[in-house]
Amino acid sequence: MASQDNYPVVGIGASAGGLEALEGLFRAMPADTGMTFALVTHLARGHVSSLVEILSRFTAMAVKTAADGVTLEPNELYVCPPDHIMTMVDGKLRLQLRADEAQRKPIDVFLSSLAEARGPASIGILLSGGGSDGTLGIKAIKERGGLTLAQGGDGSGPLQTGMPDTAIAAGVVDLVLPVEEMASRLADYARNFGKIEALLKDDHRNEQNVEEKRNGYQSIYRILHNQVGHDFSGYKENSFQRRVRHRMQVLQVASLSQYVARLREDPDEVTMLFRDLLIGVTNFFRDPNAFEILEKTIIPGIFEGKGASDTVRIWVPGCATGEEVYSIAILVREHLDTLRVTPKVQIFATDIDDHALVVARTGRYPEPLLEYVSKPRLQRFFTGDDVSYAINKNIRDMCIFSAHSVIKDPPFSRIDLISCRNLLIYFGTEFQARVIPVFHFALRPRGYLFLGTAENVNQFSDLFSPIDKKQRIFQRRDHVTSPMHLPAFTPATRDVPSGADMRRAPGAMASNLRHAVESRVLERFAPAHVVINREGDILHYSAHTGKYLEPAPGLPNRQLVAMARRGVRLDLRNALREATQSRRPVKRERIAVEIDDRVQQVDIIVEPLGDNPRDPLFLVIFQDVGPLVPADLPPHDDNIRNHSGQHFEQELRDTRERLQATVEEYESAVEELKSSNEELQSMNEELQSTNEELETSKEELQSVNEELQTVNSELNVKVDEVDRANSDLRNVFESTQIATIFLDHNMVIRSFTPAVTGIFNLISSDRGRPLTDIANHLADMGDLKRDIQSVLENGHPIDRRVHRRDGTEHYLMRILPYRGRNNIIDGILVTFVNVTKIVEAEVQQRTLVEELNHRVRNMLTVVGAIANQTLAKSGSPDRFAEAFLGRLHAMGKSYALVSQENWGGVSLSEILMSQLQNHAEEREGRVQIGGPPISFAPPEALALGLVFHELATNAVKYGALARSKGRVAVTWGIQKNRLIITWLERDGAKVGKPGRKGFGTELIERELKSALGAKVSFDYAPEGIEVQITIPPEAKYIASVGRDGK
Amino acid sequence: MTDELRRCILVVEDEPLLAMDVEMVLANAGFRVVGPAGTCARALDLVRDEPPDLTILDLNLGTELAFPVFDRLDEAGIPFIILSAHSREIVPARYRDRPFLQKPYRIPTLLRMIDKTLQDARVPSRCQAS
Repeated sequence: MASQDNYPVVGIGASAGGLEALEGLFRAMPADTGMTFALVTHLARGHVSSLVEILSRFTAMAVKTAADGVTLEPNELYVCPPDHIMTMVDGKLRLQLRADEAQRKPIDVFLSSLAEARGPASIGILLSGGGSDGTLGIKAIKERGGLTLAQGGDGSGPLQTGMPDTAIAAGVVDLVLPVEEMASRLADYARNFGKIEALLKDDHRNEQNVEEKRNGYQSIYRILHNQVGHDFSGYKENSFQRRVRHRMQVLQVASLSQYVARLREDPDEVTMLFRDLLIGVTNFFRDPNAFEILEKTIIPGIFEGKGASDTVRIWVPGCATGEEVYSIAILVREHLDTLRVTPKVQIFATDIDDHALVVARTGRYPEPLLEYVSKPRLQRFFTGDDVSYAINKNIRDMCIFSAHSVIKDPPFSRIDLISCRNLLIYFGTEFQARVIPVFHFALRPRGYLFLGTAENVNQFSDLFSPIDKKQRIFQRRDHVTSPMHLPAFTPATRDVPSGADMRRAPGAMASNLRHAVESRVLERFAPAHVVINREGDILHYSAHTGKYLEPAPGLPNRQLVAMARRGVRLDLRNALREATQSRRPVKRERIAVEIDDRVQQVDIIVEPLGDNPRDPLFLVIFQDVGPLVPADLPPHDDNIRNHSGQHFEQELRDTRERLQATVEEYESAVEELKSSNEELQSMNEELQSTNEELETSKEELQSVNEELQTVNSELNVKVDEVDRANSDLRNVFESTQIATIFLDHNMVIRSFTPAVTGIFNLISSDRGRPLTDIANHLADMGDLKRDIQSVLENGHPIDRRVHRRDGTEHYLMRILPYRGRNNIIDGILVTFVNVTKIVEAEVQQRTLVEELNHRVRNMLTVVGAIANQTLAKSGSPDRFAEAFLGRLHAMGKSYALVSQENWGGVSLSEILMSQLQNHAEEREGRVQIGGPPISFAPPEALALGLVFHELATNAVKYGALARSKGRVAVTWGIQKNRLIITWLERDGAKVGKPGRKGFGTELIERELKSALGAKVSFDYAPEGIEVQITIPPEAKYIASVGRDGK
Repeated sequence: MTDELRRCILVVEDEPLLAMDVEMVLANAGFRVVGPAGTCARALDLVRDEPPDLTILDLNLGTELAFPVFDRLDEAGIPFIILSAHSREIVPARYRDRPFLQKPYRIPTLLRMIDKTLQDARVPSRCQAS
């Protein structure tokens, strides 16, 4: 039991509601107490618990999942994982995998193994939980000198009280506290642990110390004896001192003399010490000697003479956790196996309340508590593994457990054996005085009473005779009436001269003689008499009562009236009633008693006797009148004074007959009622048995309920996390504009983002329907089903370009695998990204490109045409080059001008300037331009550019600009809605009207006509040419009010 | 061209320079040119008033497309050649197998196409005496 470091190990058991309790306990617990903590809980089977994680938040100590073979370290908390049974061996934890470990009472198993391993250095704590797991484990710890605590009291009491309450009811808890206080008590305990041990160890070197100790213990024996009436000086010294040390540890009292002082002033502490001393008495087969006698003598005794229709009834009051009951049941079972004819057996096990019975009813015990059960018995009567055992059904069914108080409730009856080994010691002598007579009543004649070694029935040696005084086995004495109504016997009514009488000293001899004489006289001359009590039970017979009384058929009965012979009964009954009511002597004369075929006349006198008002006695005297005469003889003359009275007498006789018959009927009715009563009693017992079964069911349900509560607790923590994750997810869904549909592997819709409703007609009730069911507006989907299958299989995404059937929207559809746990594909995501804009841009781009191509080709064609035309009119390559390049250049300038204005409007002045620029610079002031601001759109501007180029070229070649003095003036204005542009050349070379229209002229005409619908006129005056361009109002130009005014 | 009769060809083109160029080419090749017409309306008038043997027309006439002229020519049984800077796809399906020349084109190619078209049509000249 000793380990290298003797620090305490704390075993904690918790179940439903335990999470809150553990939080309270560990938040308050310092992280450096030097103790190791181990926790066992009831967890649902197969459930992965986050208990370690949750507990880590409450304490700075390291919290670990217990593993098989791990060595315990101080200041650490080990948590037993689900599906495992945990025990402690040599300072290491052992774990075994068990699928239904909750049935095995894992808390009991662990705590009792801890008790075995660590003894006084073990601490057991039971926290909130339903059911009764843990009580036996706590008991084991207490037996071996450890400290035991249960959660209770004000403040944070347990949410589920079953577990702590059962342990408290079994009397095995040292301290009942709220969890916050537990922490500080444990810290103190740990700190002082070892100091007190050392203090109390026998120190032989110090004589004074030894003497002090001895005195101390003597004082304790005395105090105990005074209060509880029991002498412990014969108790095993080691055990006694260990118990005292334990109480000192619990109270944190450092010296023996301090503890003695405490005992003197606190009777409750005396009781606690007393209980501690008695613990361990009721384990399985704990007293081998006593059980041997039970087995060999008593049990065979109670079965003797019982047939198949008989029942053997055994009663175990104060059965507590049930070890004693099952031990007896096992012995009974073993005995039954040796019999050919087996009677029925009922074993009634009672205790003061239901809490105490919970453990007993369950019938499951951890291995250390079965120490004294022999191996063959263990194998035969228990089912289990090496950590815990349950009593077999055939034994369990023999026992009926119920709540019962020996003091307050009516006792059982017709019991063959009462085993009461753990009860009387808790009562004072006064209660014992009340209880022993109850046992006497309950037992059948010659029934057995088996008491605990600390108990005795000295005061009641008249009720019980000892069979084995040392082992406390007694047998019921039968010759006394049940003294329940007669707490005190008066010596005068005793049959047997009591020893007390004999011991009355001087004068004994003289009184003996007188007594002998009086007896003789009484016997010979006194009339027959009996003494009865108020109920009519005969307490004393004189001699010769046979004439008047005979035993009634059926069960032996002490009732006087029942035993009275015919003829006497009626009058006797009347006389008795009168006498008991009036408390005065009553006489009835000349009653005829029939004795076989003869008649005896009797006077009956009933007189009060004794002076005990609470229990009056009566003397009934039968005085013969006259001799016995034959019945058929005519009545004696003395009886009949005159003949006229004869018929009255006849009538009277008849009346008596009838009355007799009535009385007999009435008596038989009473008999029937008695037997109904018996039946009702037995029904009651059956109901009690049913009640037992219901209790068991209830416990099973409780245990399931507990598991559910534990799971629920943990799930609540998880639910918050899941809620938060769901919230995040929902927000992401709603914020995303990408339509996403989640499918499972059967193409059934699981969920979808809001954006999907624009593409598919999905509503929330469509979840759970296959995707292909649902109408959609999309074309070009391809074989959706096959695509999805492919993605499910190989996980490679598939892209498709799809668009609405009405062509308005385009989407990029992606089919992606949905990877779940372990990255396994178990569904599909289908996303739609709106790419309409992209598609439109592409289309636009294609259009633009096409347009560009078209324009370029057109341009090239135009250039080609210019080349062609110029070539046709040019005489030489040089001329061609000049003209051609000039025209191209002009076009280039036009285009430059237009694009400068970003293809917006171009003003007329600018067009003119761009074509005349060169010439204006070379010949200053020779070009003049003027007119209101007019703008043209690009096509028209380009055409005008060409026109002015031709005019300018001609002016250079043939006209005003050919000579240095020539001038060109271009003016324009609006007249009558028509825009007139005038090109005037003067002082240039002489020009004449050309014979043929030149290319330039032709071009000018056509361009103006085509672009503006304008007309042009050429006036070839000798001074210079005048060209007038008339642009109609419907032509496209803008006349804006600009800087030039007008 | 060995035919005694001069064929007349209607030119439908809105760009003056290009019209002038085609005219010159055709005239040099010995054809008589009808038009040119720069708009659908003008072209339809000329078809009615001076039905040509052949029409050369651009798809795009400024802001309008020449399809009404195509239809009218088709009705009238007058063969035509489509000139365009666009690609052939823009031509309506029913005319897509008609002779098509993309600008810029080579003059010999145009002349060859004109000859072939006229031969295929085998329609006697309907030109009015010029």
